[in-house]
Amino acid sequence: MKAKKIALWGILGALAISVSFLESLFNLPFLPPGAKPGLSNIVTVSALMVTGAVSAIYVTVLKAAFALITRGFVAFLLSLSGGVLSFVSTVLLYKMKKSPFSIVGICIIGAILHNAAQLGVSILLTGTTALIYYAPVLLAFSLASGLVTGFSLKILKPYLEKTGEKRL
Amino acid sequence: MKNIKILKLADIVLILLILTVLISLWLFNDGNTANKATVYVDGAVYKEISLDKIQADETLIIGDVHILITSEGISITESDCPDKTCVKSGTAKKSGTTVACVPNKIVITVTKNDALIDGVTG
Repeated sequence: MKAKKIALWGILGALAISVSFLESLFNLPFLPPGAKPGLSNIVTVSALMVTGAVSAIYVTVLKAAFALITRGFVAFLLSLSGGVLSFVSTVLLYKMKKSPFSIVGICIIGAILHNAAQLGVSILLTGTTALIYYAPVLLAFSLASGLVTGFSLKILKPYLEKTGEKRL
Repeated sequence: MKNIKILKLADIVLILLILTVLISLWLFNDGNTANKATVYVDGAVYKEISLDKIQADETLIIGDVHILITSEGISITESDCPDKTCVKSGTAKKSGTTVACVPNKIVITVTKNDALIDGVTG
C-alpha cells in the first residue's frame, strides 16, 4: 500500500510538471500575454480527489519548485502564490458539506484566485499599481480556463473517486 | 450517477456574474482607437507614447531590456530575465493589454488616450 502511494504521487508530480512545462514552452495566439491555460490544475485537483489535500499541496509546491529551477525566482513566487491561494479555495469548497458549487464552479473560482494572487504579487514586486488594468483580461481568461479544467474534471471525477477508494 | 449532475445553481450564477462584469467592461472600452502606452520602471512613469502617432520605429533601452515601439504596437524584444515571459508576451496595442517584465520591474500598459498631451512626458 505504501509503495502504491509513492508510485501514485510520483505519477501525479510528473504529470503536473510535464503539463506546466508544455504550457510554458509557447504562448498560444488567442491567450493574453503571459497567461497559460492552467491545465496543470487538472492534475492538482485530481490529486485532491484521489488521495486528498496533502498530495494536492505536494503537487502545488512541486510545480513551484520546478518553476524556480527552470524559470527563476519570480516565476517561483508567482507559481506558489497563485497555486496556494487556488488550492486553499478549492479544498475548502470541495471538502465542504453541501458545497453550493459543482467542480466547474470550484475550478472557475480557483482560476480567478490563482490569477488574482499572481496579479497581486506582480503589483507588489514591480511597485506598479497600473497593472490592475490587466484584471479584466485575466477575469475573462479565468472563466475560460476554469470551464475547461472544470468540465475535464467533471468527466474524470467518477473514475478518480473509484480509483481513490479501491486502490488506496 | 449523481456525480454527473450538470451545473449547480451557484455555478450558473457565478458564470452569469462574470459575464455581466466582462460585457459591461467591454461596452465601455472601444478598443483600438487612439491608445497610449505607458512604460513604468520600478513603479514610476518612465515614458508615455501615443500609439497612433508613431512615425518611425523606436527602441527604448532600459538596463538590459529592449522595448520596441512601432505602428504595430509596443513589445519587449530582449531581456536578461530568466523566464522571458515579457518577450513571449508579444506586441500590445489594444487598450487593456499589458506587457510586464516582473523581474526587471518594468510594466507597459496600453490604455485609452484620454488625458495625454501630445508628445512625451516623464
